[in-house]
Amino acid sequence: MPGNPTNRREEFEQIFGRVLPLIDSALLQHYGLSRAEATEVEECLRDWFHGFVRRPGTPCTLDQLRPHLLSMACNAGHVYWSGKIAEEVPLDGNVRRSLALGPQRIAVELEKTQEARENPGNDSPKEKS
Amino acid sequence: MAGRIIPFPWRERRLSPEEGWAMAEQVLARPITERLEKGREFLLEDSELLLSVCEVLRSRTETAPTATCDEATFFYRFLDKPKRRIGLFDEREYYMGELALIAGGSNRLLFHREEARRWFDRAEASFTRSANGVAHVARVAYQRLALSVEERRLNEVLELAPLWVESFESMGLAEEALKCRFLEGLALRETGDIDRAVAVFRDICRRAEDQRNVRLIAQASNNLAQFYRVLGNLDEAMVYARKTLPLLKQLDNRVGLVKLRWGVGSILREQGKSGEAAAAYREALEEARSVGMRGDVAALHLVLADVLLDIGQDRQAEREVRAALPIIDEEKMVPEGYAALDLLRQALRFRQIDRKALRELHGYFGDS
Repeated sequence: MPGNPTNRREEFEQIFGRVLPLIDSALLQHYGLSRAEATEVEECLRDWFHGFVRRPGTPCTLDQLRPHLLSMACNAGHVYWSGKIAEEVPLDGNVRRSLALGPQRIAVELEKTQEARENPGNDSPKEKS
Repeated sequence: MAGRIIPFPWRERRLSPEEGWAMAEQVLARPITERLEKGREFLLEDSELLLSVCEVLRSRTETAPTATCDEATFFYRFLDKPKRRIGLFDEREYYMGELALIAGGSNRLLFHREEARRWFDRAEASFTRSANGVAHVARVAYQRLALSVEERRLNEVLELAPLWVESFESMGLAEEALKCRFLEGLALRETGDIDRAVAVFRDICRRAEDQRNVRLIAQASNNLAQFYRVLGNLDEAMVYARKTLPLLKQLDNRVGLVKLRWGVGSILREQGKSGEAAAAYREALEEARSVGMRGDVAALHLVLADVLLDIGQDRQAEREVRAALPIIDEEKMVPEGYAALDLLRQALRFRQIDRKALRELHGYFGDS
């Protein structure tokens, strides 16, 4: 295999670990998954992420990778509800809002919230390098 | 929250990266015709396997473009119909895009420009539905720009290449940015601005060395060898050619080796060493034939004929021209050189070679 896969894998595992709390909160709060379901989705996302970072053209910093992870997590949350029968519509207001706005919008909101948290003095989102 | 899940659990056993790589080599070693029968055994729908297949094929594009094109086409068709579920997220779209891009890039190297264009369209259509689609669409744009260089739409390249350099840099994709700079340098050379082309390629060499990108160092040095030759600095040209040879061999870059040997032939010819030049052209020709680069095979037959005429081997030169003409016809190459082609063909009826027509014709292929 090309490169030094073990080190790279560890490096990206750390990045995944740093985004995981955000993913977790998205799945639990914005999409209303149970703890067990969220864990299952997170494991799937971990597999996907390790393949994603091996694709050419994929960035390698936390700042650049986080939006992709959040976007995919929100997609997963959305698809989770798409797979349910009509009678099982969510009652939770947060979940209903997420499904109405769509996964991309929710992912952007989460990203902005995180940026604001990391840069409390800034009104506008920070520039990506 | 009610939570009976219909499609859960999603997660399935998948190959580890090491298993995926080993399986990819095993699958690719098997003839294409036997693979579908072994679909289950080979786990052709496993995302890890497909990721490794793409990695292997990308590394082989310049080594064996014909085989790479066939392989990429096979896997693309496999994923396309019937529509298969690959992974849980955007994997199918990504792999289809990547395989189409590989097939397109291989076709471009093989001179199959219309096919290349169609594959790039397919790649773009799939990539727009995958994560990080903007970067992948930019990678397709790079391939289209490379095609523009080959089709001599040079003003287009000079306008667009710097824009794509900026785009790739803004996405943090330094290697792709350098590759676009590379195309800009080629376009400068083709428009006769060789001094600026040399400056661009020297800069690419420096940056590629910083990135430890052997592939780009080799390609940039290869071009510098050619440019210094055009500038008449044959010693410097040979220095860069010697620097390039071991790098291309290390990379097993046979497409690059064709260009290098062709270039070395031209340097030797300009040094007045026609016999050695003919030998270098023959090596390039054999390499091009084994890689399946029919456009270069045709051009090299013509260039070789030209140098054989220099050393009085007229009958051998005639054979070379006769070998080139059917390829030019079959592949519908150089439509703009039809008049020269016709003159050459007429002269051959009298077992003569129209030297001016010969030179005009191989000029259309671009001297390496």
